[in-house]
Amino acid sequence: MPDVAVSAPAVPASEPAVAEPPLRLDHQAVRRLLPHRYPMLLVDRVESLEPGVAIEAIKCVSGNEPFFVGHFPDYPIMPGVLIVDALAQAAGIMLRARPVSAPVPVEAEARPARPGVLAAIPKMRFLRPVVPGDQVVLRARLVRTFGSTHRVAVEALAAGQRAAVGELVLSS
Amino acid sequence: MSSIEVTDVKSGLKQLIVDRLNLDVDPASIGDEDPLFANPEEAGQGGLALDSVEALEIVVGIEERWGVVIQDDSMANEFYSIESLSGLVCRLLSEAENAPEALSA
Repeated sequence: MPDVAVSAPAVPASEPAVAEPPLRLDHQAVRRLLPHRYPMLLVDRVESLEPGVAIEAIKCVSGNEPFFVGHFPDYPIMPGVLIVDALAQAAGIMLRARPVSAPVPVEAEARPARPGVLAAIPKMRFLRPVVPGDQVVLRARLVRTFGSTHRVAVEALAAGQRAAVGELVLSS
Repeated sequence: MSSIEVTDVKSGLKQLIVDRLNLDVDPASIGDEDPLFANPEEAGQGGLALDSVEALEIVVGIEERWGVVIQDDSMANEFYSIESLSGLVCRLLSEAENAPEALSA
């Protein structure tokens, strides 16, 4: 997948180059890293990003979400598969972003602009519903990469409690 | 003198693949030389026709079972058959056996 540099806040000169601080990304930066758009862009902003290692992102769930129209009219809960996709999107940002200090690989230019796509959902449990007003914390951590296949441990928190936890496999 | 028995590794690999991928086959029915992975150029030649997601599952399984680390570039050459995979596992095990200092250093 193409590497997209993300802009980091100014780093004090004393900071060692090897230990970049976790990055924060606003919504515009998220849109540069993900091809998703309304109504499928399910990451609002990134609170903490270590490219290729881990990410913590936020999805704010409003009562106006389009999926609440039908899921369900009298009992609005966020579809579990959309929680999974929000986690996959966060993981995609984590995989696509490269450290600011890293050089741009030559082959990056030649690679197709393809996001990490879900290849498998080996494990997933839904522990509590996500409802209008929830700020969902999306966490993903890279477990293992082999070739262009990446296994990622994920969890989603709502109101400080686990709403979903599992593992995803993304293909790049 | 090596404690690594290739036949044990082979049968262990077959069992691991069947268990972790929930395959409905008898581990003993997998031939040592059977191609494990899907290859468009060899379509119809039998084998398990596994994909990249299943390859990753096997990598994790091997690493957990034998405590070795498989490099990311092993895919092309050594992820072909039970024969080639067992060679990889035995090589990694003997490297770990012969260089215990390097691991703790």
